[in-house]
Amino acid sequence: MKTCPWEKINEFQSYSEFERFVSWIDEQVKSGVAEELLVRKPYIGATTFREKWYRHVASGKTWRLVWPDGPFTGIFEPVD
Amino acid sequence: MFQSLVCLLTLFVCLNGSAMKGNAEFWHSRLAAKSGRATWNEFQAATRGQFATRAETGVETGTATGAGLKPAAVTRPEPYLPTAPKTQLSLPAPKQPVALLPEAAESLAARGATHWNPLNGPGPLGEKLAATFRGASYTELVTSEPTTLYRVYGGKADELGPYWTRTPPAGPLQSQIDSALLPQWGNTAQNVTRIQVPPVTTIYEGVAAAQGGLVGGGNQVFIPHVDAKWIIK
Repeated sequence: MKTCPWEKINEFQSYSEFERFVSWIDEQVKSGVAEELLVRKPYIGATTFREKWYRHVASGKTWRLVWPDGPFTGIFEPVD
Repeated sequence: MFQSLVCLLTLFVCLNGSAMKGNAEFWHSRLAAKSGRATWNEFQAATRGQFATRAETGVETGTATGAGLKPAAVTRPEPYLPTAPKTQLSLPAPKQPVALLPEAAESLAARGATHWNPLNGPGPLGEKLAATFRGASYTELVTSEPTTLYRVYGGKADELGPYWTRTPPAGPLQSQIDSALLPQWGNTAQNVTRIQVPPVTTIYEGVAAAQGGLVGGGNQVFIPHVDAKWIIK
């Protein structure tokens, strides 16, 4: 099993940066590197955040992407 | 002999008839005399011992004593109230206090407000969300009554989200300063939505932390779950 090359993003700097990241992850899905999953357990249990889960196909690792909502700046992190 | 019997029988019938008539007249005159001219208390006092009150019997009719007759129907007189309105106002029945289930009451008592700060840990929100409160300090509490909250939105920000405030917004700029909404996140704060959070809802409340030159300092409430039905139009 390959290791996952993705890195955690604890904080996006702006909404435009976040949008660029969303475009990138969408490309990953289209190219088959990643696949989108259903959100099984929301970030800190909060359903008010917009959130998507992705699985890195080669490594099998699952990640979450949480949309920013000021003052929260969004996050991309592996799901434990 | 036969004639004597007939005479005795006639005499008996006459006497008994006059007694009954006199008794009926007594009740009739009594009711007619009192009806509409005396108060209910006076009427009750006048007929005390002959009519049981509604509270005593639970029925409207009473039993006459002495003559062994029961009035076919007793009409209770209207109370005489010169200034009383003709129409009766019907007031709603007083609401009974809603008792909480023992489990719920116990749960509420156990779940009192908890203050979280850097000394006792980031708490249920975790470090990243705790940092959105000034000094990473906030209070976890359960609402005990309907609570009105406001949220400014517009641009990239949706109408519903996790961050709210108890303070009615005083304009987009003031909201951006108080809630430390940096322009790079695209919340134009041009619209305001208002919700009424029902009782027994967990919320996290504190003061908005400063961000990128915006001082914050406004009231800030984080709600993990918001129902669109809470919106007040």
